[in-house]
Amino acid sequence: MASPSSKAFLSLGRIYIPLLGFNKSSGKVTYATALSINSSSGNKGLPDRGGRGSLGRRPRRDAGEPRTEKMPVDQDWTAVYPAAAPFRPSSVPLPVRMGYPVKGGIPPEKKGNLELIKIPNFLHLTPAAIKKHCEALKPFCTEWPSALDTDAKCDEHFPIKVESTDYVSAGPSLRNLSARIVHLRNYDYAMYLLTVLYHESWKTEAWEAEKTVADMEEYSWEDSPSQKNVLDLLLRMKVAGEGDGEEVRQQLLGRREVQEYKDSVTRLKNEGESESGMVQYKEAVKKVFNL
Amino acid sequence: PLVVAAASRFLLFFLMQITVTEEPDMLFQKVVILVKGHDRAVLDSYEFFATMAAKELGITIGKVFEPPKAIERLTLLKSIHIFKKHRVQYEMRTHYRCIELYNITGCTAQVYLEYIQRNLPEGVAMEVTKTAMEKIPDHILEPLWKEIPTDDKPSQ
Repeated sequence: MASPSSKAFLSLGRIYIPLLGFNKSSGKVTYATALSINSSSGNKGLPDRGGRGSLGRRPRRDAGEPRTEKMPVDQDWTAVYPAAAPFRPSSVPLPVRMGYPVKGGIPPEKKGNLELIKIPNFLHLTPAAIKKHCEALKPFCTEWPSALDTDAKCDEHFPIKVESTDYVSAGPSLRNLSARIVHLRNYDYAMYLLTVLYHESWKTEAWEAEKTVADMEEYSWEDSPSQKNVLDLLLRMKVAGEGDGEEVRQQLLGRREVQEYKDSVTRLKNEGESESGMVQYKEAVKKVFNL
Repeated sequence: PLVVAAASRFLLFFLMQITVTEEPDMLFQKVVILVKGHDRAVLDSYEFFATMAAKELGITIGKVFEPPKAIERLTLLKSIHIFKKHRVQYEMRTHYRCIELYNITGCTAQVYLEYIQRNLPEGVAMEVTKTAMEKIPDHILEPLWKEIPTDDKPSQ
């Protein structure tokens, strides 16, 4: 099975387009189609040559002058390299040199240079080509809604953020090991979890009504000893005038100094003691005492 | 044989046939593209190509930066038998390039990513992290039992 197929590939390799006859100088005509395998044609070809060229090769035609000589300066480069292709020294009119130089010499020239062929080239992606491609791709794109220009608006209307990662790689294996690292198992499960948590948070137990001030997670200034102390102090200083009733207390609560004192005390209790916290408390106390 | 494995979905766009559907588009707040390669010059050229393509398609580019390269070195014995004192050292350098894009719609993201990925040079790998924004689903706005009255026994 292996040997007839290899001969068929030999004959296919010499003919660039299948289904076409090709007249050789020796007068032998070889046809090749995609389906038929002509093992007999390969057999006839071998005894015919007999010593012409090395390894049974036919005499090569001379390569004409390289295409670079005929290229005009204002040509359309996108037609020379329309798709990704290896570097062809006869198609690129640039005097490129690449490789390690011989001692006392310069890097080798581009003709027959393997280094230039090995490295991926971007000759098919010149700015002109990119502009052409993007012009063709523009009809498929949509615009970002102009109402969502700031992050705050996005968070307000679309609070849920779903992160997903895709990987593109090439190698001997189909799999990409970094694709196995996940945070949460899948999107449906995440939405299910969210629904469950939401409904659980609405449920209240009977014993939750017995929560006392000592159980609170955050410090709240309303109805706290600090508020009572400040109001008593202000009343004794007779800032508001005569009378000791609810309306006077409410009036005092609305004052700016009292609000600032409330902010500083809440901050100290919730965030712990810090330089700026103590400074803020000092300023608030000074304002209350009108110092 | 080399096999290119792509986890993201590609759609084939037929010429002259653009279908517009009523389905709402996905919105991506941030799309981060990280390219990895062994050659810094190749990544430079690719970055120029990607940024120019994003500008042409009207996508807002955030940061474009170069995370530090990672070098993996190994020291092996030079000879197949004995000569422990003579070793040879190899290293593999992986260069990175990161491009962040902000406020991009699902259609545009698909088009841009497919264009970028089809023109990915050989020997370069890519990771794309997308942050999609979504509204709160309808079934969460009100607790389910307000519509369906059921006996709700408190848990133990």
